[in-house]
Amino acid sequence: MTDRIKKLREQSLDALPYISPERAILVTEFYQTGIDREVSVPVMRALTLDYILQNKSVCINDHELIVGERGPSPKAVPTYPEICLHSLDDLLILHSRPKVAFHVDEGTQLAYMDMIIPFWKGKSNRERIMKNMTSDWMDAYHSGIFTEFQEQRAPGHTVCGGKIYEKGMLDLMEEIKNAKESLDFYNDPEAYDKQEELKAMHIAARAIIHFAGRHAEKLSELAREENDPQRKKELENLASICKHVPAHAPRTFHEALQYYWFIHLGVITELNPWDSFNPGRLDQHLFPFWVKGIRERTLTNEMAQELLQSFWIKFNNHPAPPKVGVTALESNTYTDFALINLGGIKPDGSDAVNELSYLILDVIEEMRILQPGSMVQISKKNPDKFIHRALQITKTGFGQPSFFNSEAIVNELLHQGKSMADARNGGCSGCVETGAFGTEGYLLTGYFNLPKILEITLNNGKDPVSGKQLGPFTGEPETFISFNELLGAFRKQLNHFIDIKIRGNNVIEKLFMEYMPVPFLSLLIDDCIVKGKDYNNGGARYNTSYIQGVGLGTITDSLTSIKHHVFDSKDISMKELLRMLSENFEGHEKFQYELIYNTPKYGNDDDYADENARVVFELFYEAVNGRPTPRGGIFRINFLPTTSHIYFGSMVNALPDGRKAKEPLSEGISPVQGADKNGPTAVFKSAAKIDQVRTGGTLLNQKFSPSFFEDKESIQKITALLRGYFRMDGHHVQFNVVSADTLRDAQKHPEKYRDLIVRVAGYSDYFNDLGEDLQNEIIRRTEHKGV
Amino acid sequence: MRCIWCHNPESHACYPELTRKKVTLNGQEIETQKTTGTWMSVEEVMNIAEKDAVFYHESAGGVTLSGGEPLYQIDFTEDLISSLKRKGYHITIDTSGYATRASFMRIVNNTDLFFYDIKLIDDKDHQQYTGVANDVILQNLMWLAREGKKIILRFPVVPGITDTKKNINGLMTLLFQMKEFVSEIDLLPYHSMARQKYKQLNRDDRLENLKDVSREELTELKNEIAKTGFIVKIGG
Repeated sequence: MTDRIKKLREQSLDALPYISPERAILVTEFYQTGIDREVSVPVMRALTLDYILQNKSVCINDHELIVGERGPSPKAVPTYPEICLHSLDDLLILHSRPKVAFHVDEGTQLAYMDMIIPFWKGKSNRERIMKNMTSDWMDAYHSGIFTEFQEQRAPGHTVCGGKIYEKGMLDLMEEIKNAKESLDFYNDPEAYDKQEELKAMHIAARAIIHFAGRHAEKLSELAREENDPQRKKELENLASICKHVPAHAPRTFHEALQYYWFIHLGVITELNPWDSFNPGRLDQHLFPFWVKGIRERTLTNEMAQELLQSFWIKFNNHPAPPKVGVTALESNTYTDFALINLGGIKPDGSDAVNELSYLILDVIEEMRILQPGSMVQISKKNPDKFIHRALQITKTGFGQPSFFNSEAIVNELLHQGKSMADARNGGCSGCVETGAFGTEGYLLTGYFNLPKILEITLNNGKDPVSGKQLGPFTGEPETFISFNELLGAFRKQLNHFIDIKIRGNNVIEKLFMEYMPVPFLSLLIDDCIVKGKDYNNGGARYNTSYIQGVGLGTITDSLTSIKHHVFDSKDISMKELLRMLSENFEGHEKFQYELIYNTPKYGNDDDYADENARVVFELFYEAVNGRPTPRGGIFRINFLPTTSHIYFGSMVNALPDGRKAKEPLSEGISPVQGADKNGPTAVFKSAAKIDQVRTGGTLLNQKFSPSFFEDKESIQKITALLRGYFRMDGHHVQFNVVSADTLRDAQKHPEKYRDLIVRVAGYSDYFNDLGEDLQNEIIRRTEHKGV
Repeated sequence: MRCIWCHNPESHACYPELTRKKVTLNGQEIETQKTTGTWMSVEEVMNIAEKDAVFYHESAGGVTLSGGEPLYQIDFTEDLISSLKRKGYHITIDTSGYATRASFMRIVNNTDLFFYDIKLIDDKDHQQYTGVANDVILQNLMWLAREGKKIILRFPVVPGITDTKKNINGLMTLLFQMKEFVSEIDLLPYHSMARQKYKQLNRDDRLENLKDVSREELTELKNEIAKTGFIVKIGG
């Protein structure tokens, strides 16, 4: 690592995340002019972005090679009052909460009190959403049945494709002009809407060129004042880069990275989309620039590495926008889920691993920072050497990169109707979500608490936690004469709550279509320009809305317990079992022990138990998959939890798998914490029994002690494990390599483990930033000592 | 054979045994019992082995028969490995060597690799700590080696018992004799993990006060034995 990178990395690690009111003030000022009454909604949004980019402070950090910050300085986090207006109490909570805090100074509080709150109160999109939700939705939401993604952040969930490396903003403006000229006002009833959207895109493209221009000016100014001749040259070079991109297509490796970074800032300044934004298949996009640079001797590997490291630091300087309430519980982290994809296959189906894939792995290993996250796509066509190299990094224990199955990704996308080339250009973003990069809007809409539905079924539609009758009356379980009757009742409850969720989703999606277009993001995702439609309005070539199932292991084991004890071996009656649950197993420890230790469990390659995972999967799939969304998309399912399994667990009483009230649920498609006793091969076999190809991603977590990765032989064993799981269509696996003792010590002495990063669920986080219960849960996850 | 340091006491009996243990759940102490060992047919074992076929395929891996002593149930072992062989699996037998030559002859062709235990070289010592003489064991080893089978020797390092100067010297002499046929020996350090198992089985743990072997001692031993030209690994 060069001195420059060391300094920048330290600066990034040490910077304190704080709320910057800059953006909120600028947005408010601009809306106060009342221009919104004179122009269409998309144009207003584009002009707002333009106003922010013209007036926000320009930050150039010492020594850096990639420039541009969303806020006035590293880790200065803006707010988005048009989406979610923070109250003074919210700000106080953000400031003082022990985990994932954001410093809020007095000036910010005053700006909120005097200007931002008075203007936006009653007008934010969050309030618009809540006003439009039914009481059924509100009850289910407050009971922890589901969460709502778009409540505090805008839909994003998309990844940049290869277009920006071939086209500058001026080229896109030309395309916009052509699209506008071909509008047919005589026959197309949407022609006016399209015209306004295209106007907005044009303004947005111009805005980012100007923004880069402001950086060029500032850089030239700094160059004039700079005494160090080397830095002076760098600053001059940077200034000329910022004059060239993003107006024009990049010509060099450096320009390509700087171009991406400007559009990244544009996307995350326009609104606060989920999963920030993401360059996606970075080794593929940058490869031609690397080859050209090396061939022309204008680039060395050392230079490429330093530029990439500088780029990495940029991501780390940008924590996720602050979340409060339930949204903070479901995703409590600074991580903003940019996930760099490496490896996989090319659009023609051939092996995509190249020299740059390895170079970027070196960067990941050396940087060891939270953001951006990284993953490797493993295709049957990729060499083992690539997996071995990635495992060498995984074994150092900060949870990156994670491992994905290219063939599964392609098959998932083909199953959803994407073209072969678009599927092969795809990958995964966020935690594990599959998408066609550059051509798809694949929104997550909320986590769905599957065990809670079983709990409600076992209480004849009533939520035992709140005491409210939330679901239909599906029968007193004591009267069920077969396990199938229970499944029938569960199915009715499931469909009932999925209907409530989908009704809410459809309204919320429509609100974003109407009120919150994103003309800047629309520039980047095909076919928004050609269609003259906004990203949030179905402009992408493919549109998908996901509901993410949570607690598959927990509900599977709970169903298996009932089947085994109540209906098959009949060693307890349903009535007695329900009584134990209502008494939280107190005084029933002996039977609780039976439930935990002597009952078949998912994750052990035991068909008796795994069958129920398949049953739940099919019911959930059937309830959601294929239903239409307002923007012309399709609802689908995937399985990932971020941190919602902790929150959902806190909303569920004792369950028949022996889990006590309030304890976390299982995460992703992983077995219940500690339930897998037959080693990783059995876990993989169990997980492969659900038809993962029909999802948009599943998350499987496996925790290993470092000894598991010690020598070449064990690396080969893990490679075989991975290949085996992927041959069975497994989607993803992540390895947590750290000993439980280390984690316990970290709990006691957090100060000694400032840089300890662990895998949470599809993403990595600083162990110190996790809540105590989540820390405990990570410690409990099975630690496999050998294959 | 009853090695005093055995860490698999539950495999001594040739019938299922009950084990007891106390567990704490929600602060309550519960006593539970569990059966160790089950009667299984070749077909049932085959079904379990087949479950991981997808991973064997990727790793060219296979099945290891261990024990107890797999040759003690020679009819079963013979049937099982011939079934496994028909499916093309790599087969390893982990043996104490304490079995009749006739038994070895029944499985030798279908076995790809032997893990072969060498414990104590002096016959009297062997008698004292394992309950049986070692002549059969050493003869079988030589025979297997001459048959050209691939063998990895396994040597349990039990402080004060197998790591004495006398035994190590004896071991090294043996290794020099075997050098032509065998090239690897794995050192298996004694661990007290089994103490709990003895309690659960209501059996005496005769090494109750023995400490685990330290890394340093093991490394020293490894370097010593490596002088024979053998590949020496710790664990395995």
